[in-house]
Amino acid sequence: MSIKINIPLKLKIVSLLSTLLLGVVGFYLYYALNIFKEDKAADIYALTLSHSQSLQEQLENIIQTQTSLIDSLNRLSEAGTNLETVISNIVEENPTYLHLACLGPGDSLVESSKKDFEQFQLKENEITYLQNISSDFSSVERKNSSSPYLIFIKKINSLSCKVVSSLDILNSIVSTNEQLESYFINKQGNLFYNVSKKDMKQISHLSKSTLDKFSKRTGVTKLKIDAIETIIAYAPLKNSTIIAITEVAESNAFSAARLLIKKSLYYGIAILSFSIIIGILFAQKITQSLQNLTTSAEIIASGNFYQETAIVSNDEVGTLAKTFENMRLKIIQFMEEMKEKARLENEVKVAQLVQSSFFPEKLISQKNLSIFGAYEPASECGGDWWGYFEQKNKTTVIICDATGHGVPAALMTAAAHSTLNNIILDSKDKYISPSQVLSRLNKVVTMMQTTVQLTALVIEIDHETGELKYSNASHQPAYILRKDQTDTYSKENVIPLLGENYSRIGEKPNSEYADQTFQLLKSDIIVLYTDGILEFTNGEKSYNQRNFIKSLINSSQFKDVSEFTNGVIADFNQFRQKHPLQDDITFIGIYYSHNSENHTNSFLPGDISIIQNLQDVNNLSPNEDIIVSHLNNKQNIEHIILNKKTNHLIGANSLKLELELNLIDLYKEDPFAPTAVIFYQKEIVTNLEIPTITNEVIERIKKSDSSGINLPHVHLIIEELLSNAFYHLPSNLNHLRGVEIQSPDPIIITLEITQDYLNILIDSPSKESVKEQIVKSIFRGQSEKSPLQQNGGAGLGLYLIYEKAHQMWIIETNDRLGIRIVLERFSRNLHSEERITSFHYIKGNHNV
Amino acid sequence: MSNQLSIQINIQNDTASITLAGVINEDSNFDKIKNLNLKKYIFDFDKINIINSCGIRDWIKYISELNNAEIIYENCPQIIIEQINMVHGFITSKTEITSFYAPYFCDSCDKETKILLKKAEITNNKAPEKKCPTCSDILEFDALEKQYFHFLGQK
Repeated sequence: MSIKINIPLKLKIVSLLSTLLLGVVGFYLYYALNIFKEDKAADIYALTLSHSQSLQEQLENIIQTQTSLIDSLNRLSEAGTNLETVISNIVEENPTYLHLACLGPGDSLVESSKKDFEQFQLKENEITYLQNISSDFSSVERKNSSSPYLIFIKKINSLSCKVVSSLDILNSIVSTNEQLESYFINKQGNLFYNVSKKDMKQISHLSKSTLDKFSKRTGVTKLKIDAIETIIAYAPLKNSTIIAITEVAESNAFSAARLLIKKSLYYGIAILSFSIIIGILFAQKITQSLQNLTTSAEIIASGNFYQETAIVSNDEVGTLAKTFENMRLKIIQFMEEMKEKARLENEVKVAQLVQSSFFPEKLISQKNLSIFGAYEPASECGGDWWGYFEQKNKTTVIICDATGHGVPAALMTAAAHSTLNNIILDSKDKYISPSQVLSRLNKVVTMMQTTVQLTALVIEIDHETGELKYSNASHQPAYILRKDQTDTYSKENVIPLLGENYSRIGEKPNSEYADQTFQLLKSDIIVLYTDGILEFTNGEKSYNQRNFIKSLINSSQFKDVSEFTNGVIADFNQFRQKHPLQDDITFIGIYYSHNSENHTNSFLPGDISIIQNLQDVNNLSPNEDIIVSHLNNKQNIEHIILNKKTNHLIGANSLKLELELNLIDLYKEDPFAPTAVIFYQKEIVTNLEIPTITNEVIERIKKSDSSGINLPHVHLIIEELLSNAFYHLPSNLNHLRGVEIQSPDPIIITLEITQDYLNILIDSPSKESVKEQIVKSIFRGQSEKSPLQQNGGAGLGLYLIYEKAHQMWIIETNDRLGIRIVLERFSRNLHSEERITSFHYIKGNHNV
Repeated sequence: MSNQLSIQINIQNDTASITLAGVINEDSNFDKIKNLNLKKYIFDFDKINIINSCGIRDWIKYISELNNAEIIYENCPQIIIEQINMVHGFITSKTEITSFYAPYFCDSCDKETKILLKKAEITNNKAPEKKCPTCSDILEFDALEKQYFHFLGQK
């Protein structure tokens, strides 16, 4: 494709040079010539004036000579000398003098003439003329302008002389400058003598006023004579009407300047021409290099990258050419790299396709299980993988995460997939547990002798029993979402499958793995995932566990496991927006729908019954010491009243059921023993101290970590328990209220605070069993919800405490009564409210 | 006995505006606000810390002695509402709770906050939507609505 050049570079360079030169030279010429002209004009003027003055002086000298002659003759005459001889001698000896006549005193005339010039002898009128001239008269004249003779008449005293001389006498006056035209003129404009004037007609053009001016003083002026500017210098003779004039045409005077201008022009044109030629040659050199570069670019544009650009130049154009050449080589290199990259990308795409076949179909529906997995690699191939297999009535799910991502990690997933296929084959003949799956996988990976390792979690779910068996090789723990009493999933009921965590797959060849178990309940949701989800950051924040759990709870509303999984992924993607993944992500949701609650809960000791409804109560054996109840508080108290063998009724939505069971064991051993560091303990001997103690406890809790602790409830519980303790002292037989009560044995308040609960124990003297009274008082309050109208207590205290407590422990010994209230640290008021209060009764020995 | 309840009273026309502060228990003395024979009593519970069982009994007794006066409870803390819901007698046919605090929870901030609600905002025992004062996210009502607003149906 040729691109039209509007203004060629050559033209630009040449134009630039020419304009520059023209400007400089023209300016110089104008400036220099002006100065030259002015200088020349001054010279011309001075010269012509000087010339006129020179003529003037010369003529004046001649006149002076003539005057001197006559003066000499006069003196001779006065001396009595006969002038005849003298005159005759002068005429004879001096070739210039043609005739000399003197008229002396008494009109004596003496004259002499050269031969052939007798005509100059004085005529009568001339004698008369001489006789009549005044003394000191003098004149110089010519008969006419063509007369070849000069007549000088002078009278000195009484001698009058007339000298006729030839013009030769004037020939000594010469002009050295040919341009100057000189002549003598009289005031009347008559030519006296022409020295060097060429055209005598011009003399008539001098006006009377001009001549008048010339006759007065010496000077130089410029006049236009016959349309010709003429410089005229004039010098009048003293005592005479004769004026010496020198003229020069102005054009002739400045002919040198004109010549200079002309020559300068010629030189200027020559220089300009030379510079244009140089410019063209220079431009030619540059544009040729650029043209070559253009040609090379066109060749490359046509697809031929292998044509070398050959420009040798040591200037910027050369640098451009070298840079262009480098660019060509880089393009070739880049093309090779692109080819290689395209090849690799193709291979990776194939690998990606192959890897996608390693994953099971997304939705797996089985007898009591439905499984739905989601997976997205961070790059084309990822290091996450999951799979499953079935054996008899069990489904085993495995999730893996190889260190890193990309092709190396993806190859590891191929090994995992291959191992699983082998396990599937072997499982047809023998049972393979989750720990055995990990062992097999570990052997395979360690044999590969690679630096890539895997974390892996294997879970096995028994469809019938709901037992979940699992083994964890340093992977993220699975979560179990479990419904609470209100049939909803909540953050508090998200159970992480913790326990032993074993070595990574591939870390060492002889790693050992073991199985752990967990009992699933109907509607439990099992969640397996990789850390790419939790650790994802969108540039500002990381997704983290809080958002993840929140998303699990939000999505648990869906009845279908695919909607659940998609909901979790959708929440993640909303957080992620358009940011790329830093690591692969895998998420598997498993819905377990089998009602396995008739089977013994594996983590509950002994045979602990679970009461779902009132009918279950009727089906309990009489020896149920410990039960777990889904009933409400009033129903539970009623049960305790009616079933005296039940000493431990645990609310089914206990935050830490296992912990509560442990407390049963501990308190059975020693009901007053602390189970954690004592936060506060005080002995109180008078009820007057109750407000102070209460405020002290509240303030101390506020200063420490009070999260999850309802302080108004704590205030109320302590005040009610202490008031009750004093009110029910054996020494307060009248059960007085509103008076000071003192206790001979101190009442002890003890507080323990752990990260899971606040444990308040009021230990007071007692002589009789009060369990029945306590539960009846609670039941009355629950039923009537109104205070007793009596002078003593309102009969509401224990009811209020029980409704606010999460665990109430009644501990009786032979001489002490302990009421222990445990407040579990729910993060949400709602869940705290929903908590079914546990009731525990311990009859034991007092160990203080 | 130490009396931890302070009572400030302002009577204009036939209405007493009574501000209660501290603890209402068996030691509380209501003499200051007894036998006023006014038509209307407005009780501000904002500064009440707790009311124990004896305090509940004494309060119910005091209220019953106000002789058909109109009774308004305002700015009731959560503990008072819980007691009102658990014990009969707080609310009579002439009693109205005009404003009270309710627990809300912000998931983003992971914090509970008490919001003052007006009775008029509650319709069909549903908590009104509120925004977190810190992050402006929608708050979750952090109690069982049916249970918490039970007092609105009491007479």
